[in-house]
Amino acid sequence: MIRVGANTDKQRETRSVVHGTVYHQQEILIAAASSAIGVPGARRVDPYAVLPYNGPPCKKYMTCKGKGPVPVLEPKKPLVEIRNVSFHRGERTIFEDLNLTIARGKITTIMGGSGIGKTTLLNLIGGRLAPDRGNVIVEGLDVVTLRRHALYRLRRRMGMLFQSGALFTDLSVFENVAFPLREHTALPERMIRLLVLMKLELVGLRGARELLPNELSGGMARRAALARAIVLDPIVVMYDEPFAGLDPISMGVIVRLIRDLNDTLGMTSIIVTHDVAEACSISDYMYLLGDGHVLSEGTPEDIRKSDMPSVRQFVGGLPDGPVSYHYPAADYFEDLRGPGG
Amino acid sequence: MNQIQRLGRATIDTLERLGRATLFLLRVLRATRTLTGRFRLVVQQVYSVGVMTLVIVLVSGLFVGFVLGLQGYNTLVRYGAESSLGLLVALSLTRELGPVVTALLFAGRAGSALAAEIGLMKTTEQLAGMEMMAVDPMERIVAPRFVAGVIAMPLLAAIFSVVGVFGGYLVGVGLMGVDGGLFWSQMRSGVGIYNDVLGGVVKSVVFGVIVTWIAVFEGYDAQPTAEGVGRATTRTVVTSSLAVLGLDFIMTALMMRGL
Ligand SMILES: Nc1ncnc2c1ncn2[C@@H]1O[C@H](COP(=O)(O)OP(=O)(O)OP(=O)(O)O)[C@@H](O)[C@H]1O
Ligand SMILES: [Mg+2]
Repeated sequence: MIRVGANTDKQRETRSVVHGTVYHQQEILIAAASSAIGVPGARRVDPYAVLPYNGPPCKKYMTCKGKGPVPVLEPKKPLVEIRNVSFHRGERTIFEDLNLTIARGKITTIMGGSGIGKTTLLNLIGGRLAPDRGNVIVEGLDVVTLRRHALYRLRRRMGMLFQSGALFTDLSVFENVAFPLREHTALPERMIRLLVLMKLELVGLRGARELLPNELSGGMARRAALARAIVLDPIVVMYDEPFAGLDPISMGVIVRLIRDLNDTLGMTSIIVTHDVAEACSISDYMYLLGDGHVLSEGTPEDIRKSDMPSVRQFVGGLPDGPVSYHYPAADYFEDLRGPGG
Repeated sequence: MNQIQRLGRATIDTLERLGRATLFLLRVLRATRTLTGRFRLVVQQVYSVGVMTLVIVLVSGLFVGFVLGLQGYNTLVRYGAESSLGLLVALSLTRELGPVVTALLFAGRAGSALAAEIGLMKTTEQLAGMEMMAVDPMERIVAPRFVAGVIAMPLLAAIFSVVGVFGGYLVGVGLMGVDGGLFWSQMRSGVGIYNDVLGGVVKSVVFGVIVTWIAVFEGYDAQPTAEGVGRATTRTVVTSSLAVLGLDFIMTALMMRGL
């Protein structure tokens, strides 16, 4: 990984400082480009390390990494660990003693019925919600106790694809994808353009860059949001229902895209879905959630072969079984008969 | 018993909301520190608030000035004091009508739009998305809009007063035949910079803070549904209008005692 800092204003256009060495912009562009499109053996550029630099060359920059612990790559440990997490919404228990781990560099799918708390789980991992009990460890850092500054540093390395896309409605597709770059880096405009176009090409929306989000279909919006989620080359991408409402072609493209991103860029992927077939085809490891904890886990093979009733029910799509399809309610016939009936 | 319980419930809810709004204001103020490097955001917002509100302020100012000219003339002429019309119009505008009417218009136009915009961004998960991109919506969205509102309000109030005086002049001098020279000279000698103009500016700044604060708070605190956003905009207009009128009375009383 190389660290890039734009040099003084005068030189910003042409040269940058990388690990104390002055590089010409061309070289950085090439490195960034090859890392972004996943050229084998390319040096990985961490655009998050591209910070504005206006001091005397090099030495000072090396120390000005900001406050707070820097997430370090610990290749052997799992990327995310959820330990004994409990979470409540009012009276309702969403998770009770939930334990799961997300392996580094793998695609892990979390399945479960609607309203079981899948989106909530992603928000816990991203630190947007705090559990009532337990620990959420990402990159060796406990998200719950992390100071705000450190949490924000960590989040720059996490991409999240929201269920709704969550594109900024007043910005074009291009500007939406460029947003994280503009906020977190001091890259020159030419390089921003390059990086954005490369990500848009990946999701097949290079031609749609000038459109506003309200001019996109649901599937296109999801793809644009995906481009935005990966524009900083995060170490982990969380996908909330990436397959919902896609036509078969887009579905195939997205499935392949997730796989490619995961494999060529060495990202870790967390997919949350209730789409059993797609999940089985793409995942390295799967979790099935229910009743606030993990019902079953394993490789897609294990899941498909499992004879646990709850797994069979979910994979077979049956309403009756150990997992309740119904929101907790009074007895049906009692309810129909009405009070006093 | 039920009535009393409900009253208690409502009081507690109101107090709790007030507390939350105060904490929110502190967070906004803390977030404004980060704006020094990105003043462009504030300028953009001042521009958009200005564009939204300018026309309505100009038109209202002109008509309020017309009416002041007519009513003032009608009263003054009974005492043979119609030469003081300029003074009357200018004083009413700078001290009261300029800040207050502008604040009400500002709440109705810019405040409601602000609340709706932020509420909608929350509903569509744009704020959540921003947080996950490690950008604090407080710093990127709320703080620039708050500062812009506080800057724009006094400017708009000043424009309102100037246009209003012009309207009064048109009616008084053009229509009713008051002497133009007297109109201006009386105004010049009678309006004090410190007592009148500064008092008006202070008021408009305070109204700017109050209205924008309420608007951004209601938007940020809205229930993330279409209905919730609607309720937030309505509440913005109602609450901030009442707050403006109430505060106007208090500030006027304080300023008069200070004289
Ligand atoms: N802001 C909130 N306030 C109160 N309860 C909430 C809130 N958000 C979610 N819930 C509750 O938490 C539960 C889990 O919600 P979550 O959004 O995580 O479900 P999900 O598994 O993502 O469902 P889906 O597959 O439909 O997206 C739901 O039953 C919901 O009622
Ligand atoms: Mg969900």
